[in-house]
Amino acid sequence: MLNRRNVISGVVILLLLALMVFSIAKLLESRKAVEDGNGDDSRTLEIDGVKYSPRQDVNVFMLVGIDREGKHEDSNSYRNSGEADMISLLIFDESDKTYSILCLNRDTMLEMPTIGLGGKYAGKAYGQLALSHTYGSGLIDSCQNVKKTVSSFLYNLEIEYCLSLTMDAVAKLNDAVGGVTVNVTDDFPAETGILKGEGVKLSGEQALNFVRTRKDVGDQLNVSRMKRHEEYMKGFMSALNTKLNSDEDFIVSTYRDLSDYVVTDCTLDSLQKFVSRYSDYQFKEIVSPVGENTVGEKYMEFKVDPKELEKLVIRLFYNKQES
Amino acid sequence: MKKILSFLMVLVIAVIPMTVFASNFVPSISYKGAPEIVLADPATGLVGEVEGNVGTAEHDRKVYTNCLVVTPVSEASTSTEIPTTAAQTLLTVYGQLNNQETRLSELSDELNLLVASKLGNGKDADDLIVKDLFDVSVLCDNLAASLAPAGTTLDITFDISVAADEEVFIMTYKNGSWAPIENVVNNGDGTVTGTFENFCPVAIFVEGEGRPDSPETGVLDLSYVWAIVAAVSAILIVCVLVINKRAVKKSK
Repeated sequence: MLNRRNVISGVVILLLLALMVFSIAKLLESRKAVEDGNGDDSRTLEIDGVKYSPRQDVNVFMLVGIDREGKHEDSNSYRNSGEADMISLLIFDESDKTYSILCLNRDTMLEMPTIGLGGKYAGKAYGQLALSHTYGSGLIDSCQNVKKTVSSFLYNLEIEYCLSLTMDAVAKLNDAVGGVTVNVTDDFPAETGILKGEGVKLSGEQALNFVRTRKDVGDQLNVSRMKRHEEYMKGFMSALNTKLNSDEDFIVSTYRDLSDYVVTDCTLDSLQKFVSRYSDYQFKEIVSPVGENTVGEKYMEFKVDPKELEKLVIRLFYNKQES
Repeated sequence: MKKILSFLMVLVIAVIPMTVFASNFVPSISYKGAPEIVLADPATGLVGEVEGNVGTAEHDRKVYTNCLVVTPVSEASTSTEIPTTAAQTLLTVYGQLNNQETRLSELSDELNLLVASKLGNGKDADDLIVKDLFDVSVLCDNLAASLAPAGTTLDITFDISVAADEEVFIMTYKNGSWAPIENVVNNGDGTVTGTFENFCPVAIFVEGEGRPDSPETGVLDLSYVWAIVAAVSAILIVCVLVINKRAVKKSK
């Protein structure tokens, strides 16, 4: 009887051991797959028979400039009037310690989630990217709606944080970093105080006009305004870097001073860690999706070239899978 | 004289492109607030025509944009175009519909029946969410008079950015209760047309992603499953060893 019990116990233990070893092997396999970027099948892209996996060494922070003056305010409704005027992704590449900026045209035609009463998902709408922020109360729900819209548009890209700021924050931030130097290639209306030339240092209001104005500036197109956004972002990041090196309390004090004008799903603590992790990264490039400006029924529309977008997304965010 | 004329020509030639240039400015989209009414005839501002018995020949059948105003919730407390009572009603029903405790199935039995017929048996208004809510007020007395007799209706098309294959339900709120509109057509281009007998708050419903009382589902992370299986296996091995050891001790 005792021998039979020993035999049965031995068999049970052997089976459990085999199960445990198998589970550990599968656990290690799935962990390795995640590290190699092969773990998330839903984000794997396959183009012309070649598979690409999302990179795990790239972190993305989304900045949204809202076309509204004053402080961020709750609309007390499920919609708000603040369109996303400037949408940029800061892309931090941990493999070569560089950062890039991907600027999206606010007139980009795409599908976006909509928000109904009670903050509930109410289906999709097709329209300009700028409208994605008008769903929700105008606060973090709207910022996150832009994040979801952009994420989906860029093949389910993982965006770590979003931060939206009103127009007034642009001017205040500009002055907080000591002014931003840009090359001004178009003539601006006299009342903006912006002069054409290289190495022009912008004050707060001038910075706001530089990034915001397109009527009576150059060809008056949003794509040209986006070039000015790119130019401004480059100058701003340079000024910010200089400031961070000279003032270790800059992030905390600026966050506090601008808290009424900024909405973000990133805590101050996370923001400080983010900044300290990436503050010495070198600027690499500014890019925008290629497409075509068209005039819709009433408003400007920007239709992205899908093949070019695919190539851009793969270049920035994917690795070819090892076969 | 010739020189002056040439000079003037140069000036004119220089100015024309600038004015053309400035007039080429096409605005970017901006959020209007309330859903736009899609006009039957944009050239005249015609919204549509009242159907049914409007009473007397003096009453208007044709409805133009100046006779209707659409007010979103966000502008209810500041609007000067709609009566205070209409604004107040809009805010009240917004509070009701925005409340997570409100069961849509309790608003209207007719809506429940309509949902079951269009979405399938077993479904009711709790399977819907409120996509939009706004007030439609009649500003022209003649139009109000035309719509007063029972059975008169007006077809209005709203641009609400709805998906082409979405089943849409519309309700209006009158005298303290909600009533669904029987005839709602999704035009497939983001607009819907409803046959309205009255207005005041108008609520647009679409199918939601889940009933308010259904449990949330999530995607299972397999690495956690394998970790649990490994841990449970280890625990069971220890248990079997302990039981075996006690059995051996007992037999001695």
